[in-house]
Amino acid sequence: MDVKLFEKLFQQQLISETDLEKITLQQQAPVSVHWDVRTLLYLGIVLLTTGLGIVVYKNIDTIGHDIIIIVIAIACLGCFAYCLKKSKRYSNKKIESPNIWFDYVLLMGCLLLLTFVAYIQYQYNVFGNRLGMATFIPMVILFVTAYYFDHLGVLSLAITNLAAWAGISATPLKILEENNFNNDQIIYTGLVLGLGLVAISFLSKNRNIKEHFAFTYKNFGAHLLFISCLAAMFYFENIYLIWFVILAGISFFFFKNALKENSFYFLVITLLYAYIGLSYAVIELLFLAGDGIGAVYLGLIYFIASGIGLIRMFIHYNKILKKNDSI
Amino acid sequence: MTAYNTSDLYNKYVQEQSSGAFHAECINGETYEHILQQHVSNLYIPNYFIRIGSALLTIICILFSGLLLGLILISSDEAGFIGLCIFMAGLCYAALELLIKRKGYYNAGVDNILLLSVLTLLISALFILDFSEQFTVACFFSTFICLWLCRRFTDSFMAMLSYLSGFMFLFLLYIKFGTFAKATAPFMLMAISATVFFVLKRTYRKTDNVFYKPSLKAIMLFALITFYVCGNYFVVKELSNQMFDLQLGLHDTIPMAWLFWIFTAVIPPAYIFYGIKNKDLLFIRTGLLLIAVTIFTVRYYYSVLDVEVAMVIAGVILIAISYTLIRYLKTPRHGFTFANTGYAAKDMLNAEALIIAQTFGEKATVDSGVQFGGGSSGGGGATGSF
Repeated sequence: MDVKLFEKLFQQQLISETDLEKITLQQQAPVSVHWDVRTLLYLGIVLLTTGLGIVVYKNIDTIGHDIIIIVIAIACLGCFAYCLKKSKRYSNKKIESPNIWFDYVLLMGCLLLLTFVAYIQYQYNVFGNRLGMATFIPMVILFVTAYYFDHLGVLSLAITNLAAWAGISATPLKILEENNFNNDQIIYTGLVLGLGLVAISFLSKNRNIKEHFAFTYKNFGAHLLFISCLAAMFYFENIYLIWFVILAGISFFFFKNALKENSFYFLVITLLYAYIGLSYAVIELLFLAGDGIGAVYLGLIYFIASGIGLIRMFIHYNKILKKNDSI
Repeated sequence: MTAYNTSDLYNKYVQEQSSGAFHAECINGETYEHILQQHVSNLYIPNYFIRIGSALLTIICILFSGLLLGLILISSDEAGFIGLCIFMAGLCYAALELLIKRKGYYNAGVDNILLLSVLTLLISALFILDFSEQFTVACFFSTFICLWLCRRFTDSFMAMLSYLSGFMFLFLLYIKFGTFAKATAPFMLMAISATVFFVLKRTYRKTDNVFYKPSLKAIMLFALITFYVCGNYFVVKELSNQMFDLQLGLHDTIPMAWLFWIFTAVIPPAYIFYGIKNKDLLFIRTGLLLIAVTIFTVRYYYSVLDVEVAMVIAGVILIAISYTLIRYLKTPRHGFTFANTGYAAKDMLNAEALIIAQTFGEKATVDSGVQFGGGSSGGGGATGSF
């Protein structure tokens, strides 16, 4: 803090002498390195687990599969045993983790569990051809773990697994890369899954069951829903206007909800997804009307005008949401 | 001087500072409210997500305006393109001035993109025709354009770009003075970085002009980085190899290699040490980042360990260090604490959940080289790796 500034404020009698003293004292207060150390720890865990993974993979012939599987199982059980011992009782409310290590140990246990299941399937074909079971069982365990121990990271792992079970890759940066949305099956799956996740998000909130999980559900659900809806617009070319209306409906719902809950994040993504859909419809209609240079000009003008319009809309709603912001 | 109303800028600064004081519980809510009422700022500083959204839309607007203008003024010769670039830059600049005067946009996404496009368009105009020493000339102009933009719009990103282009310009100019200059270029550049850093540090402490403090801080950070980079063995060797066509192999050395190895090894820990001593997080974080760079440099020339073994060792060391620090700093010591005094803890947790889904989401199954067959729900037609 800028002590000089506060001295000035003191002279203007905006703050009292005790305030100024506190501020001067605050200069000697210890600097928090909480997130720096946590970043280091996180980096260390990523390096260690990835490194170990490669070591094991390279030496699979000398170590032998059975031993590796047993070691993974023991480590996994160890992690869960530690967490069970340390954890407080289940509650519908948010539980603070007992110590800083708890979250990481739990996460490690879950990752080991995933590796374990994948490994025994690969090696012994435990689930046979019922591949769905090989994602379904870990998914259920992950959801139970996330709720029992109250861990947002495990919850997002569970949701990604749920999507994988349904046949969609929902890893944030790979959602577009790894899914082939030129396929009606995956579009419908995405829509249903997205709707389901959003519904769960509202249930958690209304029923007060782990209310703080609502954001994670809604985040995954909203992106999946919007992307599937846009994909449907591009894929079912003949009836894209119907899908556009559906997209508009979904957008309107999220838009109202974002205003109600003062969420800048959902406001922005909703408007941007809706804008993509709108632009697609406008361009299609323009080229339907005529394919000359006139359509090109109109298209360019549409983008400039709509861009400016949407920015103004952002500004407008930024003001409205900010008003309700607490200090 | 600046395009903004200075009292707006000052009031914003007061708001930020008193918000910090309020969250550190130095002043009570009533006092804080009172200060805010006395210092109303008319700047438009939206929420982060709105900024990102606005920035994306601004890019769309500028891109399509350029296309439209290009179509109207259709001309395919180079002079036409240069004219178009300069005209667009002028338009962006005018829009920027207007938006700031009328609406007080400050880091609103729109103004940041406009600033960047003024610079990009002007520099692109320089690159449409080919001429000798093009790069040097571009660096020269970029230095002053950025400096002006930084001064006019108090923008720290422009300050940083100005410093970097000025730095490049001096480097390109200096090596034109013959072999002696080429041999001493790293030292000259390190000396420049150090000078810039110390001069700015003095200015930072003394100045009452709070509006440019973030800009000064940004340049100081990059001065620290360039100081290290110019002494880094990899940079010095590979750059002189490329630029002066020395044809060096992987294990050929350069003159005074030992000195550059010392620089490479000593500077990052020195930064961290200095940072700890002076409670300066800027130095500590820069130092930590540069240690990683040093490790990569060493590994490039002497890879004694396999990657995975190195990863395991580094992981163990990092976990050990953080474990010790967490235990050691449980009660504040030497002016540092592990307690989370920031008030953004909730946002951080949500961000952390996303990062976990990203980094571990699919890794667990990929690590052991296992791939589920495509289609995990009875031939559901999945094409993902699960």
